[in-house]
Amino acid sequence: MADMSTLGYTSRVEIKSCGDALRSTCESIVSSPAVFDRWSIPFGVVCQPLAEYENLSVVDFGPTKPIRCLECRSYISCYNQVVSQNRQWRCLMCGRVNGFPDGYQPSEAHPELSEPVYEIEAPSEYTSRPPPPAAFCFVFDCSDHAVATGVLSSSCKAAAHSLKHLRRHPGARVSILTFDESVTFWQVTGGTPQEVVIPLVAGEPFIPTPNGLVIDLKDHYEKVERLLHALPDRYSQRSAPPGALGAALLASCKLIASTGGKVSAFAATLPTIGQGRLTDRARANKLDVESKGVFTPAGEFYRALAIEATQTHTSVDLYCMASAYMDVATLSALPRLTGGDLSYYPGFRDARDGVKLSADLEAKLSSELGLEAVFRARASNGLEISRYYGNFFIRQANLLSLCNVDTSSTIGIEMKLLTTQDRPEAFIQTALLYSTPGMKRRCRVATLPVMTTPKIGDMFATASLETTVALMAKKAAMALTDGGKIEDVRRTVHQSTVAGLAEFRSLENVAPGSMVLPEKLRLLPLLTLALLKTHPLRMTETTTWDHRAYVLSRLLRDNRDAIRFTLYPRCYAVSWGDEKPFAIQRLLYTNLSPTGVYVAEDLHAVYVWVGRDVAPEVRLSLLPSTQALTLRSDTPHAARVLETVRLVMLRRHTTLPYFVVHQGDPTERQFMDLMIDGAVHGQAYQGYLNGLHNEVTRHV
Amino acid sequence: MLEAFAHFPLNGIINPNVTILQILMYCVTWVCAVFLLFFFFQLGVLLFLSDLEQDFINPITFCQKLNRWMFPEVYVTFAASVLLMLCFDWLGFLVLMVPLIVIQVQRIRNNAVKFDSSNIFIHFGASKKSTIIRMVMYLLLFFFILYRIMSSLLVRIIPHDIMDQLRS
Repeated sequence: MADMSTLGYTSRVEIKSCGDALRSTCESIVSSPAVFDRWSIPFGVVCQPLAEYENLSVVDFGPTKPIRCLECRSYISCYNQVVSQNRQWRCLMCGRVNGFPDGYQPSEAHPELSEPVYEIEAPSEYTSRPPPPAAFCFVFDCSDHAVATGVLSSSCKAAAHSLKHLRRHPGARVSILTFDESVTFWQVTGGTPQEVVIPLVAGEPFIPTPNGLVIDLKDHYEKVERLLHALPDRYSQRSAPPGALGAALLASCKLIASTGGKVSAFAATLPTIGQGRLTDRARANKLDVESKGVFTPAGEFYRALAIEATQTHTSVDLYCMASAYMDVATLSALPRLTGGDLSYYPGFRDARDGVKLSADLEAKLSSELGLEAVFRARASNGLEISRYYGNFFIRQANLLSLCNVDTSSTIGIEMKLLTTQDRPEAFIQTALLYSTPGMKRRCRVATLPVMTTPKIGDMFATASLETTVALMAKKAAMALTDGGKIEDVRRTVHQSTVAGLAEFRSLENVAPGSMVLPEKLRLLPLLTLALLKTHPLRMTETTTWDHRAYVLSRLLRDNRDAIRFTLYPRCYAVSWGDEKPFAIQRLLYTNLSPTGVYVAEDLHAVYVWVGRDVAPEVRLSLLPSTQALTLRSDTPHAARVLETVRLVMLRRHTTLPYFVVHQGDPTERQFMDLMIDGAVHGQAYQGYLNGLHNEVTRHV
Repeated sequence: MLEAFAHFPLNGIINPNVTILQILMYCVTWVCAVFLLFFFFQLGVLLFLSDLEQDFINPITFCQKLNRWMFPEVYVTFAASVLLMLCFDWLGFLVLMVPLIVIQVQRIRNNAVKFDSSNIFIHFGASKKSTIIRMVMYLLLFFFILYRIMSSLLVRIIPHDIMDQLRS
């Protein structure tokens, strides 16, 4: 937090941090719109509605309704001014003075008046039907390709492993579907699992029986678990051609349409049969870095299915375990519009990636879940919300339908200033109304003040780099999804940084040759370059179209931390002495010493890079053999490296496979792709900085 | 009835085949009526849009109800422009019809003809503006074609000598 005494104004409120639930790109904002237009870096908030917040309390207002402003319907918060002897309060958004309900005594003991983030037990008017029990549907690909690459066995194993997390939700229901060239429903209520194979009629499946397909987990837990363990064996002998993914997704959404819920679908190949079949666009050369709309979905099926699914509060998580082109860009429309998530495992092999799949599925199903979720953001007078970025369906002008939320869902909200601010603060409030799997209706409210200041220099002094970059990344990802050209989006990102830094330069009195950067935004050029080098924004041919679409969906959905690691992966130099076991390393290949061991990560794996000239005794204690790909487990050196690897995985909340990469090996290619400070995938950082400096001085 | 349209410049240029001219002019009258219909249709779309803003209708129902009529509007505009081109009516065609054709072609190229329920709130202002512009153009076109029809009728009804007196 910036030192308030230097900012030249007096504030009336003390800012209480909402944590990750609501973070602003700048803690202050200029008061006049004309000056605000000179701030070209995206301004707004990044909101992670179900982020963990210590001191979260649930307020039950009881017979009096939740305290809200009568005019603009915003919720009361800890920043509201209480007037006329504790009987009225002034709304932050519209300024209206409202009365407290009878018998309500405002005091610090009430969480809604002392905490910036609190949760309300929503009364029955806040929902159109009583909260339903959670329903989960698993869709497995059982074609021979999936069996051969181990997709079926690892996805069944992962689902069986995560089943225990579903059991703690009261009334949770589960259903299982498999698909190859047709869709198969599984009934486990009887003694042995019964399969009901539905051939596709005109490419569309129908639900065979109304009951017995969505099973109560508590009653039939062992049967479901047994089925999940038995599925891979059942299909290992059969030989089934692949392809009816679209039909399977349609069937699963229809199956749980009465209550809504979560569909977790595991796919191994491009869908080629039935509804939603796709063609191999990459081979047909229809995709080109120069053309427009390369990330927009081909065909209407997945978007139309997504829109239907949002009406029944069903969200779809897609796990694509591909060994060939899968048109992830088209498939991603389904998780994107339903608030779900897309995971992609290129070149999936059970032995290598099975742990990651299991960890991802477990993280998703064990996290705090919000069903039937809708989200609304409000800003005080003069601040206008211009755009939302993330995975959702816009239900109404300021109302987002998120279907299912979990702790990592994040929404970026860009704002702009319309009228002059005459109050010392402006406020932003977000409210997420959701049903817990325990069948309660809750509303989580977070409020954040932003100080108003007459000088734009204060905005530079209180900017938050990580939030700004997260918002920039989400904005760029949304622009690509809307159908923009890659080159245009790159130019917009670059221009916003140039114009922002030029504005800062014009405020200071600087000698013409030297470069000056705002203290808080010192690393903005580095992270802008990193953003320009992410897969979807690359102009070079060093990545596949599926990978581009995957990273695009990641940028759109991830929270601040994860975006930071996606943009600029961490690299640690392992040291053997008594000092700290590892030190952060710049991603420059020429900086890596050949006698050192480094640990670096990307979205799919952790790499342990062993230099050419590593001392022989260290090498011997690390590796079982000279060209081994895994580390030994018994020596202190290896333990140190493994500790670093574990630390990397911890921040990412997942389990990643790790590999040992030897310097000079052809396998080093993937490791070198990470070294984005150098001239990989575009300009080197030094060159970029020089170019930026020239452009900034020209701009001023 | 065919003499009624003798005022159209076509008559002065070539010797018209009477049957073709008759059919042409008959179609033009219908086009006039269609443009009036389109004016009211755009007005209806505006009402739907304001309903959407006030949350009386949700975007999915909105798109289901309106998307059927969006492409027919474009096709009829193209047909009407072909007809007016055949009439060699330069004022009407160049000043009024060509901007309308340009607008429709732009809409097709940008995939903005049908409403898209996931994007509708993002481009809300632009949708409203586009609807109002087209509404105004349809109204102007309706009155212009009506003027042409009426003036050619008047030429036939009022005898020649009085017409010359009025002109001089």
